Order: sequence, then C-alpha cells, then structure tokens
Amino acid sequence: MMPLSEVGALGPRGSLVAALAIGFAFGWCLERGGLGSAPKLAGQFYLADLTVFKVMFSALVTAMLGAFWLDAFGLLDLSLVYVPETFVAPQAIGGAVFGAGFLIAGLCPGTSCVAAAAGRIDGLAVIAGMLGGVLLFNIGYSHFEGLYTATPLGANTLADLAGVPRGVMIGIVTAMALGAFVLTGRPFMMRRQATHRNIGRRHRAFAGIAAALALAAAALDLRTVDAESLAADIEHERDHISAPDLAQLIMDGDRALRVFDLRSPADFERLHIPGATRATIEELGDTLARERLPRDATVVLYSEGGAHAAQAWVLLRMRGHRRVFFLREGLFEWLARVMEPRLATDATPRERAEFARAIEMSRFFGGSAREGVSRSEIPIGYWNNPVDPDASGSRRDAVTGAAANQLVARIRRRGC
Amino acid sequence: MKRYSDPYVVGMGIGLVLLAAYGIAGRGLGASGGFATVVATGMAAVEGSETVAASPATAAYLTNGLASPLHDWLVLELLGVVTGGFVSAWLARRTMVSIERGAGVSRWQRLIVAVAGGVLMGLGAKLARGCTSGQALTGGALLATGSWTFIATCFASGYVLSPLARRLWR
Repeated sequence: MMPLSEVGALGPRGSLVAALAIGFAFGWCLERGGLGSAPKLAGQFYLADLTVFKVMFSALVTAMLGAFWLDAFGLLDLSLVYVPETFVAPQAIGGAVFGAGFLIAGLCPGTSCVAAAAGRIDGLAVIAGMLGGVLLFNIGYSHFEGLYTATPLGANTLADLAGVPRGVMIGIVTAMALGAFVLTGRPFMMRRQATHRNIGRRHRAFAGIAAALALAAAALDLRTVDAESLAADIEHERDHISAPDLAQLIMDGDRALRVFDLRSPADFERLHIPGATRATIEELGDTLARERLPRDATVVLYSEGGAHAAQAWVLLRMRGHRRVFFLREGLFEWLARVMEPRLATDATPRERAEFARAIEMSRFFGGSAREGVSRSEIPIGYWNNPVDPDASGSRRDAVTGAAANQLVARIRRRGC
Repeated sequence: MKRYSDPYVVGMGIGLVLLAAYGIAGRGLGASGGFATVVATGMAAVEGSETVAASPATAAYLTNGLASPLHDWLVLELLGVVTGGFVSAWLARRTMVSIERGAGVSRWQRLIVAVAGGVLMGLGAKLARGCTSGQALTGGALLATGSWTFIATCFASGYVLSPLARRLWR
C-alpha cells in the first residue's frame, strides 16, 4: 500500500535516497526534452516551440490518470497524498508575477537548475535571482501577509468546485489536453517550424490509451454507490461495534481510531465518550477529508439512539471510508455496558463473564460497576434482551430515551 | 549534440516520476521549495532561528533537527535534479559553458534580465506557494483548484506580456 512514507515503510535514510532518485529522474527528463534551454522555453510564449506545453500537460495527464487508477485498485491511498492548499487571490497574483518572470528569464525554478547543470551561466543567474526573490518575500513578509493568507479554500479541487465526481473531472481535463495536443499539431498554430510537429502513429496510441483510461475513470465515478456491498455489511452486522469493543480500542490506545459524537453541542458538553470529537452529519465528511484520515482508519460514530449514527455510516461508506462502525444503541449502550455495568443476582454465566470484563473498563473510564442488583434494575438493550437474544438478521431498535436520561442524570450528579 | 527527445514521451516520463513521488513520499515534485529552504536556513544562520521560525513565510522551510539543509527532502530532490540534468546533458554532449540568449541582447543584458526574471519568479512562487513543479505539475495532476489558478494566470501573464519582451528572444 502506498504512499510508502505514510505507512512507515520508508525510513529517514530511505526517504532521502528516494528524494535524490526522484530528483535525478526529473532532471534527466527535463534535460532530455530540451527544457534546460532558455530560448526554447521562451519560444512557448511566441508559439514558436510548444515543447513546454506538451511536456507539462502530458506529464499532468499521465500522473493524474495513474494516481486515479492506482487508488481505484487500492495500491495508492490518494487521501494520504498531500494536495496543495488553495488560496485563490495569492495564487492568481503569484501566478501572474511568476509568468512575467518566466517570460523574461526563459527558465523556471526546476529548469534553471538543469540549465545551470549543463553549464548555462544564464541558468545560474536565474537561480541567484530566485534566491533573492524568496529573500525579498521573507524580509518583506509583513507587507505580503494580507494577500498571502487571503481567500483560503483548503484542499479544494476542481471536482469539488464543479460539483462533479473526481473521475468526471479527470475525463474533462484529459479531453481538453488531448484536444489541445491535436491543435498544436496543426500548422496554423505554429508561426515557426517546430521540431515535433506531426502527430504520428505512436502519439495516436498514447492518446487512445489516455482517452480510454479517462473515460473509464469517469464511468467508474459516475456509477452509483455499491449498494449491494453496503446491504451485505448491514445484513451481516458488520456495520456496528459493541460498546465494550469500542472501550477496548480506546484503552489499547489505537491510534488509527477516530470517534465522532453526532449529538448537539449541549449534550456533548454534558457527557461524551472520552476522545470523541463532536461533528454534525453535514460536516463529518469534510472533517475527515481535512484531517486526511486514511480510508482504512477505524471510524466509530454514535448519536443519542442509533438512527443518526447509522445514517452517517452510510454517508461515510459512500465517501469511500472502509472501516466505519456505529454504536447500535448510541450513548445509552456506552453507559449501560461500559460506564455503569450491573450484575443481577440471578445472572447467567454469560452475563457474569461480560460483567467481569466491564468492571475493569468502568474503572478505567471513571464509571462504577454494581453487583447484586435486582433483575428489574438492569437496562435492557439489544445485547441482553431476553425476548430477542441478538438473533442475526432481525434488528430491533431499542427504547432508550427515559432510561438513558436517567443514567446521564446520575452520572452528571457524580460530576463525571 | 543529440536531438531532443519527443516532448510527449518526456512528458509521460515526468508524469511517471511524479506518480512515483506520490507513491513513495506522499507528495509531488518541487523546485522553488528547495530554494525557499536554502533561504530560510541562511536567514536562520544570520538572524537566529527564533525570528525565522516565528514568521509564517519561513517557518515551514526550517529544517529543524537536521544536521544540515542537505538532509531536507526538497533540497535533496533539487540536488538530484541538478545531477540528473548534468548526466543527461553530458551523455548527449550538450554540456557547454555558455550564455543562451536571443540575438538582440548582449551577454550582460541577458544576465541582468535573467536575475530580474528570477527575482519575479521567487516572489511569485512564494506568494503562490509553489512554482511550475510544486503547483502546476504536482497540484495540477491532483486537480487542486489553486494549482489550476496558478497555471491559468502564469500562462496568461506570459502571453499578454510577450510582445513587450519580444526583443529579448528575437
């Protein structure tokens, strides 16, 4: 599973060797394409030589399609790849200033290194200028700060902006790039003779592959959610987690665990599961995207009863998170099984075993366990319902309201 | 001197390198970031690292806890670019100490304009949080809105201003 650095498969030394190797390959490619030559790059702006355009957009399309398909096959978790954050105004103005510099220098930061490496003194001059420009910015930062931090959009993408699935946007970008490549092969686009003007058979094959991959990407993302696999997970009860199992995960200090409380802020303030974050169903998806949570991290949702959490479960699964669970009877289940476990005088062996486990948990989370209570004082949930003892496939919604409120009130009195 | 390679093949090569960077390091390519690191490290040596760490312009580029900026990802990647560029140019017999310029300008004019262009690019790349590598390529392939904004205004500005700079490249 990639990225290697994010899954800890790359030590500090490995990471630096990788940096050197990736840089080497990048520099090699730039030089092979002639991008270390300023007059050639500047030819871009006079429609005399469209190498920059061709290289840039074929690189962009290749990486875009590759990343999409590696992610689709589960080889690369794109949610862990850093997406440059968007700040519209500084990036628009910075781009314009950069473009002016690019025009007169004839080189950009990466290509100036290649030019300098090949012995071009003008490449060195561009590098020196760039170091100066960066220094100027740093020294005069107080003057730029307002602009630099204006109009932030976060990790926003064109797909978010257009409100279409990612694969569809990839299809659109690919189509535009291929269309532009065809145009650049036409004589009217070129005022001067170009080195590679004709679109040959090899280029047609490349374009065909790119078009097919892009079309398939759009089709894949337009497909509705895989409702059957969701239905199977629900049917086989792979959609929820029991309160004691959640308590165990928290006690084990599982780092890939995130717990979300979907109740109101007031309820959250009153009492919540330790380590839980409050979120509304509406914000939940964006919160996870912003935190760059891996898609196979464990996400546990709970609400007052179970309904809201179950709805949020469907939404997160639709967004591609694979390990999402909810507490079937919400906070009530947490209180009844972890915080305030009780053992009836006539307990069954199974109840005794669970109680033994619960004593330790309730101590860990600051609750209190009680033994020897009468059967009528035991809160009833799906886990101990004598009428319907947890038969698979037949789900039952618990009546929680009054019992839960009682428990919450008591715990609050104790100042927990 | 060998002929330059087919730009589409070169482009796909760079696309695969970029993909490898996503897969190995969870980030893309970068060039101006390496310069920013060098400058931030230099400033820290002169002004003391507290001042430099306090400014959002430089804080992210400080190589805290590293023995030298040479251990930084961005800087090492840039060293790789220089090495790769040199080896490729050398094998193709394109290494040559020279100043490449348009016919209408002298050597000194070319160098001065090159420095000025560098200054503008340094400022622009800092403002935009990246350059043609870190924004246009890396963010562009991830469909980042800001990266496409950068691509659009960068080329628009280049084309709009190109008549004024015609003398440089004629």
